[in-house]
Amino acid sequence: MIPQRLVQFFIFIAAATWCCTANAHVESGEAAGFLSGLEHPISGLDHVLAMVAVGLWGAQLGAPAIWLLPITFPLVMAVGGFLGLVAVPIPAVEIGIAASSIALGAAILFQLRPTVTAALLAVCAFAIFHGHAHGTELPPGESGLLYSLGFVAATGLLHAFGIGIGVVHRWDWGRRALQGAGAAVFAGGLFFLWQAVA
Amino acid sequence: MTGKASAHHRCLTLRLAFGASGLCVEEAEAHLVTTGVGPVYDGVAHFVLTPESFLPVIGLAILAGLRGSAHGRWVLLILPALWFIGGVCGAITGRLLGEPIAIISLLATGGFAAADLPLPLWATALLAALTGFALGYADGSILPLDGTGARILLGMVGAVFVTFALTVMLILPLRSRAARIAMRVLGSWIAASGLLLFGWWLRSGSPFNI
Repeated sequence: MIPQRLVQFFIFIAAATWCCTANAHVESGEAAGFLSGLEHPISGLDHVLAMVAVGLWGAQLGAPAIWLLPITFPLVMAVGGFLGLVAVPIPAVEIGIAASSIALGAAILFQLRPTVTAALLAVCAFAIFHGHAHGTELPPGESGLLYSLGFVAATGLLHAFGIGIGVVHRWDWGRRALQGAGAAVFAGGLFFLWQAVA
Repeated sequence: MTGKASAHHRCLTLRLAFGASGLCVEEAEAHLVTTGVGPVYDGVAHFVLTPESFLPVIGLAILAGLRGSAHGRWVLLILPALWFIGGVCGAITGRLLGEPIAIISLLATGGFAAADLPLPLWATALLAALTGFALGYADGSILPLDGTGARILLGMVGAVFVTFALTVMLILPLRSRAARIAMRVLGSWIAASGLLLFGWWLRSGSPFNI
């Protein structure tokens, strides 16, 4: 005969190990909102290419563009995201995104040095397209603020990544490498433009 | 079967039934609002887990920290005090306006921090007072009207004080240009999040459901 205490022990262990997870006091969707927001900008290579290119170009241009671009870009991109969220249409968004990679790639490749205002205006125009695409793609049922924070932070970190690579600009070989990176961004932009048009 | 054996059998059956009920337990879906360690800690937890309240305080800390220690000292006094007064007003009137208040607070604090405008002391203090009162009002409007409400509010205000003090303490010693730019970038992220939250709010149709 099985000892009674052993039966009780197994019943207790079974009850303790088969219990479902208690979801009490968990704000559903909060963490998922931030993580999915963080993931969104890096889920499309066209966005990644352009965001990193902004950092590369900022590093190539030097101060004050190197710090003006990462401050301005998220704000203007949020304006584009806002327009996308409230369903204000912008024509040819995908073409605009591809064109941003082409233009930024060409600027890095040919080491273009426009005035700071012109560079800011160009990057802001691109930011509207990128933000609008993100705004229209935002999934429903997530935590709006946490999603937005993750999405903006990921974009900023991609700029920082580009700026970090762009530090090589101080050396001769680094300037050549940056031009090579610009050529790669340019080629990537052409590919995405072909995809958008086709 | 003897009486003792029958009682033992019934007892074993009950234990088995208890064990079986343990196997079939469902997920708990209750939306608890308490931490289980008292209303003061509930207030602390509410503030820390609510980005709509937490982020504007960080934005204000960046703004005050970039402007200097005098700004930090005044905001440290004004922000929690006005948060408490706003909380009391919100608890009395009970009209919830959480999202618009959060949007305006995020845009104002993040925007000013990103712009790094040379605001005079009175302007920083005024911004802190308005932000503290508005966010405190939003928090107060969800407080229970029994005796625990005041203690929850005290927990929130304490958390605001500590969060602001710790953040501004980290920002004030920053002297290098890169560190100050990094703080401004954080401010721009807060403002951008506020603008996107505004879009979410409009898309969800909330403006018509206040």
